[in-house]
Amino acid sequence: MITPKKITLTIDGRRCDGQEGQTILQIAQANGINIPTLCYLKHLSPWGGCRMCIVQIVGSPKVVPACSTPAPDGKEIVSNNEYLQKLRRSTLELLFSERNHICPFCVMNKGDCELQQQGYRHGIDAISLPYLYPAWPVDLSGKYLALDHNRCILCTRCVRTCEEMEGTHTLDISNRGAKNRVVVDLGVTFGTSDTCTNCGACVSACPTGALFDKAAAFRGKLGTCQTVRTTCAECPVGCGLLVYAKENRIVEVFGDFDSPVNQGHLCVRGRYETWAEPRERILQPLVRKHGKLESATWDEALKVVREAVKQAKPAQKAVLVSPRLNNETVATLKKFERIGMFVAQNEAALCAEGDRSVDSMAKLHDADAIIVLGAQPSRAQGVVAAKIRTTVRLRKAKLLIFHTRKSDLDQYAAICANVVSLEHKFWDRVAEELKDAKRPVLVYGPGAMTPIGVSVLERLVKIFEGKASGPAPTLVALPTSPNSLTLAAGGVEPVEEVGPWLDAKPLKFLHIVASDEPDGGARLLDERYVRALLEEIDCVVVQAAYQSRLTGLAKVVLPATIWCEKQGTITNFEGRELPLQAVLPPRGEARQDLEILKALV
Amino acid sequence: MTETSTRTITINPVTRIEGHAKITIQLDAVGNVADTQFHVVEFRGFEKFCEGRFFAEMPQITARICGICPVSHLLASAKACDAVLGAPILRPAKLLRELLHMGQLTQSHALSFFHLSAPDLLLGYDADPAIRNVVGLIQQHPDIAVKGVRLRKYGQEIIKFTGGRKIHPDFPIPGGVNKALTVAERDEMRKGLPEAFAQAKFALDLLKKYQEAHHDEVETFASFDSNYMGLVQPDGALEHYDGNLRFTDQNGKIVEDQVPPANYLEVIAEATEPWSYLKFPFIKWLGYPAGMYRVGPLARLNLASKISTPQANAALREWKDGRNPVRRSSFYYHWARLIEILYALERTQQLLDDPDICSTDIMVTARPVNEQGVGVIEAPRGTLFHHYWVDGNGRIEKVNLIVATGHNNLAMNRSVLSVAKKYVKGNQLQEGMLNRVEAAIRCYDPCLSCSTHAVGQMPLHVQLVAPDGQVLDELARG
Amino acid sequence: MSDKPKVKVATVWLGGCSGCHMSFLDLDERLVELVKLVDITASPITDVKEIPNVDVGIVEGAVCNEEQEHVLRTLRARCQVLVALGDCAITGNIPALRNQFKLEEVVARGFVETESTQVGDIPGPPAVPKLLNRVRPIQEFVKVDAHIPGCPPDADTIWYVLTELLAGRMPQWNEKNLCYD
Repeated sequence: MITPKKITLTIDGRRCDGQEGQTILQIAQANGINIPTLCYLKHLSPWGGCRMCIVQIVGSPKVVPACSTPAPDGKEIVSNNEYLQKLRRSTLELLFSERNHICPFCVMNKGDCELQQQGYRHGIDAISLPYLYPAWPVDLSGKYLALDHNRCILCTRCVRTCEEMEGTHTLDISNRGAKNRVVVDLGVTFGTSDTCTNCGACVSACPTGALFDKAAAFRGKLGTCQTVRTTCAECPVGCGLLVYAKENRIVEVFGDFDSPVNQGHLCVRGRYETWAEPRERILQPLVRKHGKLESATWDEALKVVREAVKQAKPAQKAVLVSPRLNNETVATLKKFERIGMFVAQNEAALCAEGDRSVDSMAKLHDADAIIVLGAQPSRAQGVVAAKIRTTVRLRKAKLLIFHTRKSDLDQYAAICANVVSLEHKFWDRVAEELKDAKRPVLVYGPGAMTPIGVSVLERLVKIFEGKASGPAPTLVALPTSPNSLTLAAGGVEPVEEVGPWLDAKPLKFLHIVASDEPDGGARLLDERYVRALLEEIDCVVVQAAYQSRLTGLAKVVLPATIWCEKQGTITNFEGRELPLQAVLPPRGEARQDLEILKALV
Repeated sequence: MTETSTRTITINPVTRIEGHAKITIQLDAVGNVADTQFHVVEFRGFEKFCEGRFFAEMPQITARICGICPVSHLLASAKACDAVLGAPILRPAKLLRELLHMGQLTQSHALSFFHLSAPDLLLGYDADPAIRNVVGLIQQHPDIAVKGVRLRKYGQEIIKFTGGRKIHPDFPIPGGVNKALTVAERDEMRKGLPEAFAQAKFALDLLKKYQEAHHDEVETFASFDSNYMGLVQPDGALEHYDGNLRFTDQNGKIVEDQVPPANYLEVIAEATEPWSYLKFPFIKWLGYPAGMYRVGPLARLNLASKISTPQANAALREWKDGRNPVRRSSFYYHWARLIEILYALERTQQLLDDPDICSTDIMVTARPVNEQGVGVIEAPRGTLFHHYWVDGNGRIEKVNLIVATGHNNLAMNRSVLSVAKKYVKGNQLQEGMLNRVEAAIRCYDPCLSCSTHAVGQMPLHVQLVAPDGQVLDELARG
Repeated sequence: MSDKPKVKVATVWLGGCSGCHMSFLDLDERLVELVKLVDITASPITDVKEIPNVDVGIVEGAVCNEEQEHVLRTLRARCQVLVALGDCAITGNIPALRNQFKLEEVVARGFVETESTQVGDIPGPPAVPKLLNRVRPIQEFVKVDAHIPGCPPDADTIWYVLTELLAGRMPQWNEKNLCYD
């Protein structure tokens, strides 16, 4: 491996060490020198278009943008003098005059806008140019996000983010000169885009109020919020979250750039669905009296439950839990004789013990060939899909897709076999594509556990074993349920078909721990006969955070905490233990799943 | 001098009001006032330029309709947005919004009385214009001026503690408010109440003494019959934040009661005239211009059955003790304003004592479900309507606003005519005459930036002009 | 009592909401101190209608109609130092939102199309001033010597600028005292 050469330069009279290949800005920032920027974001490729970070290299007549100029070894750099300040002020004046930057009613006002901050930093009380007052539209059609072109400074942070983090390249710049504008696909709106996944990464990248979250508007200035790092528990990827909260509410949720799993990126579920969706919460225990569910105290409700537990024989009681339960709660479940975890079809094998690569995401990033078998990351694990897209499109990995529903990934695949052929010719082609793979990764989901999936696996194994050189692929099992690995390891039976499970031993007592399932556990009712079977049980207790059809037919409803109120750990698909840090105290009478279960044991 | 029958006097600008206006007075051949017009000369166009914006920005945009009563617009706008969300706000949010509103009533009414109108009352209508203002008041009656300044300051501080900022706080939002009150803030506000009460009562005494000393003048100052409109509680009590619309006739008899404010289009409409940027609302079943009505403090006290707080209710009993079932003279707007300050302070105390006032349950998460939303509130100057049409994405499609002072447009014109007829005579213009005409307008404490959702201003220069353009007499102020 | 002559000040409000003047009044007790040093002549809150020659002119609001342009130019001609008070005067701010629409459309919505308007007749000159096609900040008409950004600038900021001007200095702006809303 070649070690990069060490270099030294002087910035504003200070000696700064760095490595060859680094930019002037990187070395300056590493040495605590604050050069103003607007279009630069550390994790994105530099663009150099805003001209705020311009510096002077002594001996050269030109000014250069520090973010995209390789640091010249041995040279002297001036990053701040009157001349540079004048140039930066001119840039800002041009920006302010070009579009309609009206602070008083902007959602990013008061500390959340980088353009405003730069204006203050450069002492701009007024500009010397006439304002153009162009009539730019506001695209409010996105489900969660909006784009106000009046506030755009064309920094392209959103374009680069969509390309380099989500990988769909939904955003780009159209037209020329003063008519330049950010465009969605080939000139549609967010609401009608075929490619936008609503991951919201563009909004978190936007320095002004151009791209903004509709649900977060005016809920609180980010600078006045408390920030908490926690983990998303909506799917087994376990992305790191940076949550902004104020008083007793969530203001906004972003990805945590320090997380090794997602490195700041999120999908629509973790980014928006947990807090921007209006949901009916259950805030008090409910007990069915005279056919109707009525509010009750915890003591009352627990009494009813304990009675029912006492009256049922061991074989007649059961607990059915959501895979969302955290690691700590799983331990209590051992006390129950008959417990099941409701997971999706064909998930059981994916949750079982096995070799897992704790840096699966990093392996995907470095892969030169990615095989997706029987998994739907675009639908179910958005950040894995983003990783696959960016690795395939930007780092030129090969993508092969087998036995899975159509998705946007198909368009990038060298081989896309939604329906798999068993012909020799086809498999010869597959072998050909994979022959030079040095870092292959095989991502497999529930579809891999079907007969067809298994036969595809067998053929792939044969190809890899038969290769002249190259390692075996890293295997990445991708379940759809959040914390199913821990539960399975804890001996909880994965229940893929709830009907037969309920039917096997007739129950008098069933405790469904739906926890904070977004639909309150109602997906159980989608399976045939489950509703009828539930109605035959004397006492159905539902422990859930949100109201639903399921809570509606329970005898007792116990209010559970939601994602931002939970504390503990979960284990992601890589086998990593990740922390859940509570952001807010439980609302109303809601209690932690662990606490509730302990009270019943 | 010509023989032609009419000459026109122009008062331009009308000062010590909020906003921009001029008054023209037409004299007949013998120098009596034949007709007058109150022209509002500003127009900005909020009802158009808000189209296309995200509805959650509307409170912040419409706050800039007016710098004296931005809270009125913030609240009416937030209520209209709530209606679009179709979700009720939580109780603590409602309490906090009402607290903000009481702070506004206090500061706006204090401004109107002390800063804008008291100079006439304490220094005299005929005093030298150079000193007949709040600065002159500070110099000649410093103790009274400081009381006024501090009473306004208290109201502003309620707004600041509750909403975060004195002018244009970004506090009311669709679904609630975005800042909870801390215990420390609540206690700070409680501390200021005794002094504020003292100042309010001082002002009431001062005004009542003036009214006694100038009884006849006060009783007949722009005094005329009109209908009255305002919000009331279900039991008919005075109400500023919620409630339903009540209409009474000139004798105080209730004509329509508990009309849901969202149905305002069924009861009132607006007419336009080519000589004013302010439209002329009128009661539909009476037609234009017969359907003139008044809103604001005078109207609210005339039509309220009672006030829910004790001291203000006692003051209302005094108000309703006159020879007529209603108070007709526009001068009594000043008195009504001071009674409303008393109510606002009492209500402030009740709100600060409410156990929910420091709760953090102040916001609901919801999406636009209704195509339209109407938000109505009693601003210091009268009933304020915000009506938005919003699509499912939250885009503002259309806006209709009827702003408080607008309802009084016909009445203000009537008042100007009445006072002009009484005080302006002949070929000699006396500055004090014209000041009285302006004073008629000041009774209404008009907020013309609001009412025209527009902006403009004009200097005051009075000329007596013959129809052929020859200047006959001239009075330049300043 | 000082022998120093009071600095003469005139203020006008053009196309704005009067919030900047209200913020000025938020000086509260400092107003008493101020009027010892300053003579407020023509102003919307005094009854002096004709602008005299003054040292300092303060303008709130953008220019929306011809009358406002006239007032602005008059004040500029009669003062030494002209101060733009608030965002409307400096950038156009919210009144300038109407520049994104045709003037005829704005007027038609206000006076003809609104749902509560029954008799639709559009007002215009000579009774009321002619509206300019575009709303513009004051510096597009006259030279401006100092600016106080804010919507409105708070009373402390206004106090800072006034005291600097009274001391013969121009205000210095930086991250600590700038506010665009």
